[in-house]
Order: sequence, then structure tokens, then C-alpha cells
Amino acid sequence: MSDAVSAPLSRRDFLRSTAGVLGGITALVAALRPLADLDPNDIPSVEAFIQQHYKELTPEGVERLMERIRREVRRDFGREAQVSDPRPREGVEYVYALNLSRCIGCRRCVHACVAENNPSRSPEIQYIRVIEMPLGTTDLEQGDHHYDAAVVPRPGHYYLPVQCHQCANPPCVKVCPVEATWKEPDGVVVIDYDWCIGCRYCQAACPYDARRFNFTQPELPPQELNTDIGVLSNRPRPAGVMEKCHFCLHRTRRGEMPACLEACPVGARKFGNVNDPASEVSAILKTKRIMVLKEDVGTLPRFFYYFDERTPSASRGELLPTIEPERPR
Amino acid sequence: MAQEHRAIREDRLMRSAIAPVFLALAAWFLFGPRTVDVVLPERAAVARDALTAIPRAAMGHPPTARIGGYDQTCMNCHALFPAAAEPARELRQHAHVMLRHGNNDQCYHCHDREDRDRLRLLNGRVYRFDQSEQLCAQCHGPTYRQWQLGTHGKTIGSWMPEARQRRLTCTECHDPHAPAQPPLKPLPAPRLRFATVASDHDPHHEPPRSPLRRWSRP
Repeated sequence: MSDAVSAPLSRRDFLRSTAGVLGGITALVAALRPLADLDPNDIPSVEAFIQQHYKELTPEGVERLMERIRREVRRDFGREAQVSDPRPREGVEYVYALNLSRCIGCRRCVHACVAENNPSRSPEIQYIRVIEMPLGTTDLEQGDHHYDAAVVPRPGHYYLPVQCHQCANPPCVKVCPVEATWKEPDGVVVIDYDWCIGCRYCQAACPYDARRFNFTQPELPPQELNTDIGVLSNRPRPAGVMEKCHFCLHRTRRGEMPACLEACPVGARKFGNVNDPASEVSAILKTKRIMVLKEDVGTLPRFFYYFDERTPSASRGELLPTIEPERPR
Repeated sequence: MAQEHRAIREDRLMRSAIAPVFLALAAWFLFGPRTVDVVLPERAAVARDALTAIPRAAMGHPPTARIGGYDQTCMNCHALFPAAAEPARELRQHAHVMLRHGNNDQCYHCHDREDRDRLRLLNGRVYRFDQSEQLCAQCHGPTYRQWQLGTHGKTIGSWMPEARQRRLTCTECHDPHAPAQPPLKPLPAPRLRFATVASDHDPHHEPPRSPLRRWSRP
């Protein structure tokens, strides 16, 4: 025993342990190295960290949250934001209707939505996806949302814009493990961006591909920021959270129309209160032929596609699918 | 015996190789490139004014045109010369008017021959220019009723029936002389990283694909 204690350190052992220690330290430093690149602004403040779930916030808590959003917008964009948190209106349930006979696929709605809702510009996040479909089918596999043409509509096609359907039976809400997304009384499915852990279960659950994930810190040029900001809608998002269409609730709860509707050059988009029997959407649901996308999955969307009793403008007179009359057997 | 020795030697060699390999790896993590620079597809810039679907400047009452720097009503000129008798002819004035309205191919079907500041229905009733939907309704009855219901046309401002709400009239969207919706140039397609973009203008252009690489901010 005493021999082992007093044994002189051999040169080999010395070199070996030195190499081990050096290697270990280097590995540790290398592992910690990414911390040096960390932007202090990306570390959540203590205030954000201890903030309650949105639904448990007191009025003062909401006030503090709005103040923090204002501060962060000033810091990150150098601009003053008008932050609001409009609550659902009593007795109002929103419904969206879209006229497939009218839509020409010009993508004005897509880019009006981007300008309104402050999503990341690079990598690109867009809530609305306009799918170019061949006439005569609703099989989405045959659709293409990368179409680029000199002019639209292209003969032989119709256009199917898809965005969040604000389902009455939303699978995305059911799968969220932390209840960071929920359905408001007016039917809009919202996300608490501070509570979302970014697990993307909701993205997988959504049958309409309506949810988007911020893989990186969203990049948004300050001059493109929309300073009319709602807490549950278009406030600038951090990396690692989900986002999606929210029927422009910072606008619609004030009574305005969604940005996509205002931009539509053909009047294909209709929005309103379905509880009001005199509203346009009520009239559409009562008098028009309605299609619900993927009705069979049982999501009960608040987004309806409808048709005019006429040839789609996309194909007037030409390239209508020729249906062979059934031969007698 | 010799074999055993060789096995031990190889074993030692392996063990002494571990540390250098780990050191080299550590050095790579430490000094190597942080991210691989991936070129993100160039962002398609969209001007804000491309997004505001401004309604057509529909004729109000009285209908005016800017001629020689002055706002003139139709009758300011038309009072001076007698109305042409023939209902349709080659236009010497107003040559920009392209009449593509189906069977409705004669000026006096809609315009009043005597009072050019007015519109005239087929039953002889005369309306102002800001009541043009009455004129459209005489042929497009179902569409007019749908417009009244709100299932045709466009309502802007507010979804609540209130002061801010405004339902666009027929001529704020349709050119009465050529009412079909003209085709539009679509705004840019989404630039998803791994998507193939076959463009009409540049069919060979394809954004770089490399699913294994990490994002990097440009």
C-alpha cells in the first residue's frame, strides 16, 4: 500500500493523465462554445420566464405583457407599437366563406396576410397557401401551390386557397401537451406564444397544413413591421414557437375585415358573424352550395368554400372537363 | 505467445489513438465552421401597393372627365352638338372605350341619348351615374339579388353593418364596357427551401437543396 502511495509518477503516466485532462478541458470548452455566440436578447427575461399562461393572467398581468411587447418591439425594431388585446365580442362567432367560382389564384391574399401579420420573411412563413387544382377533382395530391404563370387564372384550373379553418373540433388543440393553444368563444383558435414549447404536435395533427413553425429567429425588416399589434395575433414571435392564421383577430374584433379579404380583387372572400342572420356569411350558408375541405376528418371547420351556379371564371367556355354520358348496359 | 504479444501491442496502439482522435474532434468543434452557409432562396419582395385592391374609379354624379385641366361633365361638350342618330358606329372620340359586353353592344342601350349625364334603362326610365346598379340589374337580375344579399360582390371596411362598412357597386369592380374580370399576374410563389420552383421565366432555376445542412442566417 505505502509503496503505491510513494511510487514516483512515471513519465508515461504523467503524459497520459495530462493528455486526458487537456482533452477533457478542450472538449468541455468546445461543448460550451455555442454560449459565446448567444445573443443576450434571445435569453428570455425573468419577467417572461415567470409569466403565467395567458388565460391565467390578471388584467395587470396583461398590461405588463403588453408593456413588455412594446419594449421588445422598440429594442428589436426601433419602432413604437400600438399593442392591443381585444377580447371576443359577446354573441359573435366568425365564419369565413370563400367563393371557388371567383378565386383567380392571384395570391394577393397571401401577401396581404404577410404584410399584416409580421411573420418571418426569411425563412419564409405564409399562412395562406393557394393551391392550383385541375378542374374536376378535389384531390389535393393533384394540386400545386408553386405555380407561376404570366397571368392567372390558367385555363383548366381552379384555385383553392387554404388557411387555418378555425375548426369547432380542432385536433391541434387536443394534442397540445401544454394547452398553449385553445379555442376562443368567437371560434378563433389562438396560440399563447409565450407558453408554446415548440413540440409541433399541433402541426402534425392539423389536416389542413395550417400551422407554421419558427425554426429560426424570424427575420423581419423593421420597415416592414406592422405596428398595429395584437397580443394573441401578430406580435413578433420568437424562434421555436408555432404560429398560424387567426382571422386577423386584432382587426376583426375591432369590427374590421381580415387583411386577406380587403386585398382580394375579385370579391371571393367573405367574412362575418354567423350568429347574425342578416350577415353575408349567413346568406351564403343558407343559399349557396357549400364545400367543406376534408369533411370526413370531422374537424367542423369555420371556413367554407362555396360556388356560384355558373361556369368558373377560370375556364369560361374552354377546357371544361368533358363528362362522358353513361352508356346503357 | 507471439500472437498474444501482438494482440497486446495492437490493443495499446488503439488505446493511445483514442485521445488524439478526441482531441482532433474537440479542436474541430472549437475552431471549425459554426454553420454551413446555405443560400436561402431570395425573398420575393412585394410592394405594398400591389396588395391594396383599389376599387375602380367608378363614375359619380354628375359624370366628369378631366379635359384640358378642367373637370367637365359629359353635357358640357355634348350639349354643343346633336346626338348621333345611329346607335353604334366607329368612335372618333372616346376611342379608348372597348365595348366587350356580349350582346350589349350599342351605346344607347345604357347611355341616354338626350342627357349624356344620365343612364337610361330599356323601359325608358332615367338614372344617375351613381345608380348604375339599377341599369345592370335589368339584365343581371340574379346577380343583382345576390349582390343585395351580399353573396356576390365585395364588402370592405367592417363585417358589422355600420358606418365603416361599404359594399362596392358593380362598376367599382367591373368595367361596364368590358365587365369580365381581366386576368392578373400572380404575386410570387412561396419560396420553400426544399421545393422545386419551375418558373415560366427561368425553367432551369432550382433553389439549392440540402436537407442535411443546418439553417444559417444570411
